[in-house]
Amino acid sequence: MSARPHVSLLLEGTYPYVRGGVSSWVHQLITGLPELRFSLVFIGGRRADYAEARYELPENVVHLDRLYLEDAFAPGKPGPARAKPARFADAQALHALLKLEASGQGGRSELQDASDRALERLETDLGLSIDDFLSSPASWEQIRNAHRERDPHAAFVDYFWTVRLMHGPLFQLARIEQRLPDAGVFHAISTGYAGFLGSLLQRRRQRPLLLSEHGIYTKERRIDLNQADWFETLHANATGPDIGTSAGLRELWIRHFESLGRLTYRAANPIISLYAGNRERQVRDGADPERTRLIVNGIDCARFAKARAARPAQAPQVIGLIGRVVPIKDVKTFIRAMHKVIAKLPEVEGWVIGSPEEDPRYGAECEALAASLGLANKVRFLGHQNVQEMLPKLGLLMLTSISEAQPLAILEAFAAGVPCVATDVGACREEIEGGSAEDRALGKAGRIAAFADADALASAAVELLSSPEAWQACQAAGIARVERFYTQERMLGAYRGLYRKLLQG
Amino acid sequence: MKVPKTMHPVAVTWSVGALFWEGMSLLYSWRERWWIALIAHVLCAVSLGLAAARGELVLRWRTSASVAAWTLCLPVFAALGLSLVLLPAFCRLREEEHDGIVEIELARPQPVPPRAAAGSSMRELLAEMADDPSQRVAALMSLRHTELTRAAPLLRLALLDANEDIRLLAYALLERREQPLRARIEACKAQLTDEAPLAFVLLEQLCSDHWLLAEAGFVSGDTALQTLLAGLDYGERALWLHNDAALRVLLGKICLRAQKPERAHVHLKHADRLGTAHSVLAPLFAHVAFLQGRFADIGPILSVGASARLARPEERGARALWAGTELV
Repeated sequence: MSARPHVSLLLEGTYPYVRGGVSSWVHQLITGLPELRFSLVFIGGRRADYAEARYELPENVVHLDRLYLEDAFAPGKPGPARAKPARFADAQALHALLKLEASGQGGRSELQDASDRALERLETDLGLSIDDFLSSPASWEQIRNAHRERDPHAAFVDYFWTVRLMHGPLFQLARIEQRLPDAGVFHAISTGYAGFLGSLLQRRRQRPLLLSEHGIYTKERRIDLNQADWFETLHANATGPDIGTSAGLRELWIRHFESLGRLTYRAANPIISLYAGNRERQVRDGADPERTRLIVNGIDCARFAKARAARPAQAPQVIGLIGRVVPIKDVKTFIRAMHKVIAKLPEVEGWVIGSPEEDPRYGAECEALAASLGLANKVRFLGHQNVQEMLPKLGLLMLTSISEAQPLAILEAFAAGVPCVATDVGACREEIEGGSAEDRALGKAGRIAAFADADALASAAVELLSSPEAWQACQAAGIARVERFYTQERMLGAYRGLYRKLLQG
Repeated sequence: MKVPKTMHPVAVTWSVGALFWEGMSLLYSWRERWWIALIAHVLCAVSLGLAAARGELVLRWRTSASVAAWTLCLPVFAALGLSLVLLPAFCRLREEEHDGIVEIELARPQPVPPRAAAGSSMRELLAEMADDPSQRVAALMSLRHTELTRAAPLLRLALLDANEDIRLLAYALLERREQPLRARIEACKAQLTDEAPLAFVLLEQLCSDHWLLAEAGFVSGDTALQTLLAGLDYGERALWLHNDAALRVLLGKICLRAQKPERAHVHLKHADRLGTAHSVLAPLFAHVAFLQGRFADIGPILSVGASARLARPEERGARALWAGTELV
């Protein structure tokens, strides 16, 4: 197929190389809109982490490009770069504008023009190049001034290398943009590096950029950065870590991702979120409220009819967690909750259904925790499994995530007749208790608990598993809710309409 | 005498060449390429010499004195060139020294915190200053290097914060504290040996880490009791290898938390015999008496051997209550 793709999906760390909610959604979108041609641009960190595709690409995918940020600094002999004051002035204006926007003061028009110029010309003959950034005295001066003004408590050596490390991929993406095939619409599935590439494509190709955020990328990076312990090792000595450096660099990275988010929000229209909470968050983070839209996830309920039919009459005494074994899913709280559930209902088992490949260290920690609590035979780590085959074997789905968007796992469980206990994050409450008044009238399809509260999660699970009436009421409410408000047809129809409108210009 | 017309332009060309080389020398001295600057300067001198030689032909019709004057000009030109090279070089060196001083600029002094914040406890900051999330974030971040048993309850309090970012930050900080503790427990278990000195160190560490897990609230309810009993077991195994006073005190605390006052009393008595200070043991013996219902003994235990004035601030109220004295 040589015709230009209708839609180019910009994907960071997800489909088709990683399994999970977002990847399932992307696959669902592509296969659900067979009349459109898609091209995929995959952005990953290290090549080794994404060796094997986890999905077979549908026939309407006509192009796949893979970019790895580890290639940002190609080995080469460094040499002096000529000073280009005007180009650095544009880059400075861009940083000043982002700083103003971050403080909620909005942008000034003269900064706006220079900022646009900096982005449009990045890595072209008229703009800054990676060599200018890495080797010119002007770049050195700019980094030195930024350090003095904004992060004087951080050690300069670490600050300098951090700035180089975080900007390198932006130059790489600007270079790559020039060789990517054109498309009718560019569709980023997150802000971050994918969103930045989208904003470049939107400016340079004059094509519409659509942004669909499942989780909020900036928030997730904040969680990652707050959990990262490598900051503490910087300049650590006998008296302990260098607190100024670790706090300064952590903040620097967070600001970097917030800036990428704002650049993406400025270029994208419309900006889609999955539930009201995330929409508010996008606006708080700099998105124009007029551009934001809400499109909830939906699933193919018919696909789960077989799973529902295969269910035994009584609820199986198995509580499942379906999701990747990564810290954001808080599998440890699931294990702690299982310890409490099993103390009261010894016949119950806990199954962790999801791949540990993304974070093997965390997976090992979870297994060690289960063993230390004497649950080695009661909590089973099953790895990646076919969800449709697993759901009939579950009596309850438990989702212990500390951050979520609108989890497909809950909707799939409902469609298969499995009630759910989840933490009060993302759209979990809307899914379980209902959003609108009409939705709430259907009843509760499970229970909600505060996050990281193993006691509350365990109590809710014990309540539902030991009361057949309550369990059946939840099952009925879940089935009714998913079939009425969360169908795939609704979701695909909304995207079909959006694409059509954007393609028609 | 008639001068050949070609002589004059040749001499001028050599002179221009000399100027060019001196310019190059100047340029490279600015760039700190001293060898290139020196070579350029030598070439300048050679060019000038050649110009002078040609000039001598031009000026042959004049006196030999004029030739000597040209020759004498050479060192003058050389001195001029040298000063043109050295002066900017010295200036540049001075500039760099100045830059070096700026480079090690001291951190700016921190602004004094506002009175309300300075006078509030961390718990108040986290629980009551709900209007300002940035202040709560700062309070949380300051807990990163606080002692675990003090930080954990405050971090757990922040898990209930209305702001999601603060909840996530608190969760991340708790996770970062728990993960190394559990990793150390696993590592110690893997290294356990029968070799006495090492076995004692590992068993004591395991006892202490299990205590920390329970004390910091990483385990609760039945799990906490199970963890405490595991810690007690490791500690008592360590005692077989070496009767250590600090370990006896720790075991006393574990037994008290596990509601085993008789066993705690035994460990604390041993600690007393091993020379542990009364100020350390008195609150623990008082706790034993409390759990055993010997309320009349609590006052005397707390008041014996130590002045109320020397008691730790958090213990003063308890001393005053049980001893029936005024709060100092």
